[in-house]
Amino acid sequence: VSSEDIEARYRALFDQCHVPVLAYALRRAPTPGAAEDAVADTFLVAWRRIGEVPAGDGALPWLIGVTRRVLANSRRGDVRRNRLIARLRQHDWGLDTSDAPDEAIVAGEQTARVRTALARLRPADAEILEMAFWDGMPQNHIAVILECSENAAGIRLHRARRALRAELEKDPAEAGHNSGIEPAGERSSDD
Amino acid sequence: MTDRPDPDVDFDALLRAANPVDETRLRAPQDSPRAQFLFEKITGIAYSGSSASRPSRSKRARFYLAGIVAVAAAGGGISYALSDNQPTQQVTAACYAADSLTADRTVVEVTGAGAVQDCAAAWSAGEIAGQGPETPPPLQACVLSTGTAGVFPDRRGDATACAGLGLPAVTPPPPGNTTSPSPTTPPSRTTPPLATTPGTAASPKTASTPPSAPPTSPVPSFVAANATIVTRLAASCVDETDAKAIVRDALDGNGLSNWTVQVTVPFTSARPCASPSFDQSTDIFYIVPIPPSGPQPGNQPGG
Repeated sequence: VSSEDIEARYRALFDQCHVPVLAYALRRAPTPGAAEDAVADTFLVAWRRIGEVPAGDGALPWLIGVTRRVLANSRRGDVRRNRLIARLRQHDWGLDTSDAPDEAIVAGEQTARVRTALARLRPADAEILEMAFWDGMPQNHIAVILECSENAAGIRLHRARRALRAELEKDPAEAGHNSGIEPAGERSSDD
Repeated sequence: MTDRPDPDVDFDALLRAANPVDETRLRAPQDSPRAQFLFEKITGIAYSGSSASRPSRSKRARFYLAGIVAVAAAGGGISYALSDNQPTQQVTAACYAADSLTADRTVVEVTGAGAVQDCAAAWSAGEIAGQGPETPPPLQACVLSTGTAGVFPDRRGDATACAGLGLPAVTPPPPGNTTSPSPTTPPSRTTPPLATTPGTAASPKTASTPPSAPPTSPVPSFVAANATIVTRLAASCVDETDAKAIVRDALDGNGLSNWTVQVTVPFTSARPCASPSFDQSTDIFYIVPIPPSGPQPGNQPGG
């Protein structure tokens, strides 16, 4: 394999996967800047280990797996604080885009409730739901990222949906929140 | 009252609607200078996108890859003298599709052959925006207000294109380093164009500058430092430690102590040689690891 081939392959990988990786990071990082740092780290790893990056459809879950680990490392020191900031920043982005790439923030009462409910779930449940419904990942990609079988991923997703539905059906007072962000710190971002 | 979700609302749709980031509104790398800059910092390779709408005067465009500089130096491109009639930026040239500052243009690397020859080759290869492969017209190189060479069709063939645009013509190099166009036998191009940009009302600085604007004066201290660095790093395969010292000394010696020196990505056995690049908007001189100019010892990127 020539260096030109490697560079062309990396270029194609970068072009195809930069946006979904950035979106993944933005959804989870405490700040847009932190998301961009995670994306930079991810693609640096990919450049250094280009020979290990799966071809075709397997590339994106491989990259997301790297991003996931990069983000987990960066927030391990202060899980509660970062998660709270993340939830707050998701609401801020629509107002202050000075440090953010282009993104749209969806607001609304029901949206806030869903996000709050997600924040109250077990981290593993929330994560798999976010992968499926926010990142739009198929089950086989989720299985790669979570390092489990496709069948196991399907079962986890089913359980997570059920847990979220139960959380949404709780009375707000019973759920113990008013603002939609208060319980966020209870979630640990590390599995 | 309740703010519970309507049970009739599709659960999946509700969950999707809570997505905090609309991916469709994120810019693809082809349209994102930030992504392109990241690509270039990681790889040390110019992000040569093929999108015709790609901006050419972004921050990315100021990140001149020094591999290109080294080629220019080795090939004689750096031998241009510094005067009002010479480009101060000799890494790239803009090939215009018509004798107008607002015409479509394609940015190419300047090789030792010179900007005119490089643009003639781009014409022949069909790389000029909106043009198919064709015999290049007579061309003339002018100095744009940015200090970059702009190569325009000289339809009358009397070397008046620059004058017609109010731009100084690039002074021909000394004998033996000719850049006269040879429309029938253009040199072959070994590198693709760096960018193609349609000329519009919102064109970048180069195209929107009034024809009467004088060319930008060179900054002697930086030009001198850059020339020293390029010459020394192009002379042999310089490792990271020596390259840092060379760049630092050259910057300090020319009154540019405020510039910082950064290594873009780790040096590896496949990319052991230093090549300079710079970003004038941030006063950062980059050292980019590149493969040796001779036979390459390996192909694996990164470390």
